[in-house]
Amino acid sequence: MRKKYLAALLVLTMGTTVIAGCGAKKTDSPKADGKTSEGAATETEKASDSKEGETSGGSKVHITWYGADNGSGAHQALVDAFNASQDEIEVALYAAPQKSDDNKQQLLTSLSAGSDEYDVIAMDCCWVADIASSGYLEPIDEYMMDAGMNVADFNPGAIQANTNNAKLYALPLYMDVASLCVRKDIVSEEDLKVLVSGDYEYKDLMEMAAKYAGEGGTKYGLAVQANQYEGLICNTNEWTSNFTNLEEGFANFKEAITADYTSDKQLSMVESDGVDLITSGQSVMYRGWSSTYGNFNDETAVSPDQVTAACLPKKGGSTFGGWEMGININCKEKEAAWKFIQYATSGEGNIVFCKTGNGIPGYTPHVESPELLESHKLLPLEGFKNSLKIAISRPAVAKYNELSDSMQVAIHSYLSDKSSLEDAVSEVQNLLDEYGFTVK
Amino acid sequence: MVKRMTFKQFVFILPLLLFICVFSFYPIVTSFMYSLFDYRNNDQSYNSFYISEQFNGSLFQEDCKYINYFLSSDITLVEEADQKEIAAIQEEINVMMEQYAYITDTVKISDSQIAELREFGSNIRERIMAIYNSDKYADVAFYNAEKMPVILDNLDSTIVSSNFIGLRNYIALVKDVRFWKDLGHTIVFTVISVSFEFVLGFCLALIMNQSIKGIGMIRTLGLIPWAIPTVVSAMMWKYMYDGDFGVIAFLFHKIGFINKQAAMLMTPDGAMASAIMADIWKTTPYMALLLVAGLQVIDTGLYEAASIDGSGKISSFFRITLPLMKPSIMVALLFRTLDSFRVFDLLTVLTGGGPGNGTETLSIYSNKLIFSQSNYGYGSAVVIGMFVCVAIIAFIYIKVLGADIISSKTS
Amino acid sequence: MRKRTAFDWACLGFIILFLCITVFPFVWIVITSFKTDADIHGAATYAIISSNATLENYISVIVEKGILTAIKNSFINAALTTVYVTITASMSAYMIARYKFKGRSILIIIILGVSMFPQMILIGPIFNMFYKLGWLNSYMITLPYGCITLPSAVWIMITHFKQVPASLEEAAKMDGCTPWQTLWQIVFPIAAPGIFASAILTFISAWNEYLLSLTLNSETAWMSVPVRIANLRDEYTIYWGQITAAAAIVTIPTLIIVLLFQKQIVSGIANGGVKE
Repeated sequence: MRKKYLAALLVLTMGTTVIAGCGAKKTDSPKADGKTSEGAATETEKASDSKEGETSGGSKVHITWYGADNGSGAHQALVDAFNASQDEIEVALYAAPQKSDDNKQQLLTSLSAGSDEYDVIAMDCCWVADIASSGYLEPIDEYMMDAGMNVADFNPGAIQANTNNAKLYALPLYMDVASLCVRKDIVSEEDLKVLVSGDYEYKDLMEMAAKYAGEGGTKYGLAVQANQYEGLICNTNEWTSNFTNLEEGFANFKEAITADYTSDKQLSMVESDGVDLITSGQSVMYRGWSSTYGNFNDETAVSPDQVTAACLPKKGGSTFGGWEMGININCKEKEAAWKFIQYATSGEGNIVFCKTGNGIPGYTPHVESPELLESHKLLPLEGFKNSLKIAISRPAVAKYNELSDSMQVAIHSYLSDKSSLEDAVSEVQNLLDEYGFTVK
Repeated sequence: MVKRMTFKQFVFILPLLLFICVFSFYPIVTSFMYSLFDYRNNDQSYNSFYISEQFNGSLFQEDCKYINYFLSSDITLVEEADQKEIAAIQEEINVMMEQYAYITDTVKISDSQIAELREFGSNIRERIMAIYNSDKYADVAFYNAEKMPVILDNLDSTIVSSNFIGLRNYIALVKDVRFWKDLGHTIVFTVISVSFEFVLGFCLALIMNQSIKGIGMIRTLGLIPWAIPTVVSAMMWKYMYDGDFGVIAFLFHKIGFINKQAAMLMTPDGAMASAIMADIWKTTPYMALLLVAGLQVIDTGLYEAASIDGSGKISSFFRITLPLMKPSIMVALLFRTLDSFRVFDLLTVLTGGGPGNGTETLSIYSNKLIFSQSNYGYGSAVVIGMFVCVAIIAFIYIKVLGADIISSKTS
Repeated sequence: MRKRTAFDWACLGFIILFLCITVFPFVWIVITSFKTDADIHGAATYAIISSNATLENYISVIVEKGILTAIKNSFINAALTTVYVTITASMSAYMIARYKFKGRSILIIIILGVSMFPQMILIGPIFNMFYKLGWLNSYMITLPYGCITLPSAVWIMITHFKQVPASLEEAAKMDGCTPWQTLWQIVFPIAAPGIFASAILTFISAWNEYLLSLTLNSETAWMSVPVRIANLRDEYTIYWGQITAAAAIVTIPTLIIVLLFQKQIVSGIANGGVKE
């Protein structure tokens, strides 16, 4: 009897050791650094290889960039372009988790341990303030000065998000701004013109959504994000004109998400759900980020030719987001890291990145770059240009993440009938006052 | 038979003790320490543990550099007398920077040094602001008019005061409405899901214990839900509950279980019920596995004896199976309760705490505090609060279901 | 053979219903994994076999996304954890069940206590420790895994060891067995159901663990199965086809383990030594 168990355990142990041995060999063996873009697995193998290269010594400086590729391969393209552009620095991409929460958690855990695993860090614009005031980032004003760069060349909203205690901590890798993805084969030319111009109100949008719902095989007129998460703040930010018109904005928003022309599941809807609705031809309009337009292809029920970008109501504005590049305070090769950031945010690399990933440069001169306009899917579109013009930020306060969380609870309680409009308005107003949000 | 332990036997326990000390005790003690501090990762003056006043040397150097740089860029805008004054201030700053250049960390310094630094700070603030706020320059647009006061404030924060706050986090916790609400959600989730899991798990265990044909297959199939990683199964359930594409929601709607397909995750009660259902599906096999192992220790002779006495299957279940299973039942219930009290993955994916925070559990709350809001101190206090609740539950279990395990008696 | 009673039929019905409910979500995962992304959110959402069924999802998770590497990582992690948790826990559980010593009940309570803390609080300190020791991205992750599963393993084993009649051990001692021999030759076989149940539980817990492996083994080459699957998405898009294909693939190894070990759970006393 006993022998059988021992044998079972033994087999398990031996099997494990053998596999472990093979595995170790596999990862240890040096891999040829292919320059073509590969799957995520090979990217990190490259990352670990180059770390090894670092210890064995070499003439090149090796740095690691912590970033999450959005599926377009733009991050890798940028790294490849940078590595090819000079022969002193070798950047390796460390594939960060795709899920935003996981990404931030891993980053914070690593930084708070004082780790120098990641030299250059790509961060969501609303994390920068927290990470910077913790002292985990290197201020970059001096680097900017030495390089003769001017902050005025960058998008002011992004610079504001990256400035903390009067110091600049990061530069925008790319910007993102909300727009309205519209089925141009369903919406009439006349209405489309209005939508593209942005000269309309949320009431008009709701009317139009009701009018077109059900046409052309669709079920819904509009899809927005109303789950209890950060996206809810982005949406209500627009409906309430940057949280200045709470009562009307909240009431309209609730009316829209409970109406027949929107999906019943609006209250739990995040970006991916909305993308599914618009690409499968179930919704006429969808409020989303610029990556939305990359989801249409030959296989989807709706082809890329059937949609276009329109502008959200001008009066409300259009929330911007984006990813920022900063230097880890514990980085040992800060000069090299800065060179990479410079290349990625305002140099040739920024154009390569935005071209590949359909991103919007935070470096203003690049927005008009002919090279970019030529191949960019969105920048030439009238509706998108208009969206850029009305970009608004989320409340820029210290401890934004705390404020955001409390507001999500208050707003979602109202949307799910747990509290009244008056309660929600007064609670959100109190929170805004408490955290010192002032309307400019 | 109970024997006294000698050193030779103690060696058997040693590995366990080592493990627990290194990988459980150390983190737990650390987190308890967190909860006694106002420890936050969104402010340099709070992201470590300072019992006394300390001095942040590197930040001091950085801030001084910035003040000098701001002054240099604005110096051309002022009159000559003030230019001299600015040069003098810059000189003083340089002296100070050199004097404290040896401190590159946040360390304790003498009281006289702290006094000196404070004095220095308020002195240059006064002199710099006198220039910036001077009436003569009312029309001058200084490049750094807005930034200067901010950086001076920041300079003051290089002297870090103690962030030890004792039990204040716990006092806040007791008054925190959200904590008590979340505790309610957690208890509802735990009680309902564990009781269903227990009943169903027991049935499954009784089935798995049979020696009928194909039982190996049934046992294996029955364990499938537990073999799928929680994160993945939570995502799958979200997809299956979806109001537009979800097959479960679709079927429930067709049966007439719910009035519209999207109803599953739209109301707090609905979302809670959906989450509980997914949890029961996922962890019933765990319960069954533990109980089936417990069933093995019952001597089959007892059943034969009972059947000779003429008792039926049901009565022998209550008279023999249940009492003899008590230790196994307790262990199964106890560990399932502890697990489901800490439910996190499932609810974050399914609802993220919504709608209207109606399904936020303590784990989700503490995770939001710690990772989204970088508030480690209070987040840890919530975790300790949670620990206390769990400890109470465990205590009740042990009292009610008997302390056989704790006692040194053998059966 | 005796006639089937209504009770038996009810049981059979229950078994079938139960299995259907249990297996259905998994079956749906498999069905979905053969659909294209367009079908998953389109006309063929509820179809059992879609007209444009595809193996694309499987090919892409295996070839491009390296799910096999993740399976290898997870398998090694889970197996290592199972081996030493089983050994450590059975040794200490045996002592706790059999011997009296100072602080015994406190020890039992402490073991239980450590399993009451949510894992998220352990991550920071453990990460710091691993970072300083240079253990990030290695199989060392099995050590904290072990700690998560040790308490339940010890408790389960205590209950089972207590059921072993002490007379057997006395006899063994008469024959000159050391405690180690007694544990392996007498107690272990009789307590086998508990030991194997806890081994399976340990294996699957380690296989399913998410938070620790997310932070400790974050390099793609070291990622575990749950982390790899959760990462089959972009910032705003979830690749359902790939996720379901990956979920279907990764369930197979665990099922094989369960299939191999399930017999041991019900073969303890039934064919063990007690009745001899």
